[in-house]
Amino acid sequence: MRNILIGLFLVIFTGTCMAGGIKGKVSTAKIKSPSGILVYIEKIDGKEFPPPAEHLVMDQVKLVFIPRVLPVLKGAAVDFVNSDDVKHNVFGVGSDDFDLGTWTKGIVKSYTFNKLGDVAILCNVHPEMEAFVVVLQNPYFGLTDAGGNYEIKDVPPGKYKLKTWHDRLKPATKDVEVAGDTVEVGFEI
Amino acid sequence: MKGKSLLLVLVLVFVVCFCVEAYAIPTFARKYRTSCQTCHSVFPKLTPFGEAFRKNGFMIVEGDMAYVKEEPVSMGAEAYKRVWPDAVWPTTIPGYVPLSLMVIQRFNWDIDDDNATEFNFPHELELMFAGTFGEDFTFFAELEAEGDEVAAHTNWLMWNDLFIENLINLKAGFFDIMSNRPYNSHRRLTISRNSIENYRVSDDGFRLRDNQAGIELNGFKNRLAYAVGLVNGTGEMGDDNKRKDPYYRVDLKLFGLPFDRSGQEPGADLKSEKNWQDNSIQLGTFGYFGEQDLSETTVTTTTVAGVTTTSTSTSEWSNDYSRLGVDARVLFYNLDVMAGYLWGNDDDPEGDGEEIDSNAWFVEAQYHLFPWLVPILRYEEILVDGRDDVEKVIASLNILARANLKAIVEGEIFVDEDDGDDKVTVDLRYVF
Repeated sequence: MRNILIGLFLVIFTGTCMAGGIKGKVSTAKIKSPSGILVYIEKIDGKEFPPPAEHLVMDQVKLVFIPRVLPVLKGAAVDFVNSDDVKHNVFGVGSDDFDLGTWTKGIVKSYTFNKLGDVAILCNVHPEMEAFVVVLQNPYFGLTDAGGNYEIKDVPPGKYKLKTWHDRLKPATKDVEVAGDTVEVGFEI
Repeated sequence: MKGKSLLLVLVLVFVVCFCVEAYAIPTFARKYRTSCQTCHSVFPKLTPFGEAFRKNGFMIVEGDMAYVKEEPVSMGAEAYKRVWPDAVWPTTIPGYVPLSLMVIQRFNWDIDDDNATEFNFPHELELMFAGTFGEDFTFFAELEAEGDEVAAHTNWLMWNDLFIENLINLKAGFFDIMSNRPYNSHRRLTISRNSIENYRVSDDGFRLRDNQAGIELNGFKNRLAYAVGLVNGTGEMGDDNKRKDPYYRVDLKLFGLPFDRSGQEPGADLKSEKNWQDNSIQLGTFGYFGEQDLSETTVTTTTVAGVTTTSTSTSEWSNDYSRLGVDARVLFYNLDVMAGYLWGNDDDPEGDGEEIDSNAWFVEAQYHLFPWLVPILRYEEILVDGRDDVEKVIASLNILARANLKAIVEGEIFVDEDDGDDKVTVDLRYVF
């Protein structure tokens, strides 16, 4: 019994108390604002991460997809909402291809993303609309704010490849080692 | 005539509403919300940054998108590229009307013609349309009104970065051939054009300065730039023969900023002062090989026994010609020295079977005394077999009163007074 308790303590301790974080700044001169750049751990070996039970949401408001970039865990479901008074269509192109059809305000259609990679979300009624769902292997990711800053919390200790994603920028990769503290990793892309 | 009047009316309407300049294009100042002097020292002369911008199809070489302030209108989201060929390839159009206007007011003083003077107000109006469709295409068109004539002097579309970035661009339309030459008429500071741009051997014959209808491949990489093209060869939209004229130009830049600004931090050459400086040497060589169909009509009047008879005869012939040239530009702090030499051969320019060789050369120095004051001195000569040599000295002063408004005072003096009238010209030019 004592051993079990110690074992449980160690699991909890290493899994949470020892968890660290990654934060930093992404700089780029190639786009107007460094916001909306995804920074993520490419892969954590030997672990399965269950998708969230709750559906995520991508809305269509005034002919704009909101949010423009939606990172999700593999297996996550996304509800596509039409909040406009006009009809919208939603189809995806990329690592996963699908077409949810066209619908009016108030109707919600869902899609579960089971393939890793990025999917461009488009509306064939309004060709200028676009958004991206980026399907990831693990939940350790962050999006940059207006200043290019990101933060990934509760990262288990280990050595990883940290990558960036933006639809108009080439990806960048950096090796990172997380122990117990927050590690600073900056990117210039 | 009706069409011409309509064009004139259109031009006048645009004079009131907008404006553009021939090869100093305020459209881009609006697009990027930046001063003319980002790209020009004294317009239309380009800074190294402006030169890279021009070569890159009117886009900032690295990360154009980041600098655009006037949001373009989307003609399909970027991600639609993934859908092609099941959807139209996406692009953008300018979010504004891409117009600029240049006005030239001129005062002429002909010293050798009994001191004749003339206010030529306005001498010229140039209406320019320029912009990009996404990053793939660049367009440029120009309507020029001079006197009672309105003409489309330039009209081209360029497909940028075909297969290889910067290295292959395809231009089609009516355009300035070999536009990389540093003394290009469209970017000159003097009122008069230099000898190798301006001279011609036969009537309506080839001139380097004339725009031509055709296609051109051009590009640049590091310190090399090139252009090869095929054009009608007449300097007009139409063609007078079945043959197309080929040409080439190669430029090499030593020292200073490479053409593609490689090795530079983005924006590093966006200097706030003395942005014209780029200590470097640029060497160029070019060739043009043309054929021109010529004709001459002779009217003969004879009177026999009180009866007058008039007869006309037209002789037609073809003139094969070639032009080969070399040029150099040395930028050294505030000094900009350019020189060019052009050799020409025409196998029958006058229809008498006589071959004519010609030579033209010039050397010009420009000096930035201040950012707004640039004196220029040029010496030039034209030598054509069987004709008098023409030698000229041009002294000019550019005074930039505002970034988009300048005055030019220029004297043109012939070494031999029989070659032409000495004159003084004063221009007031403004663009918006």
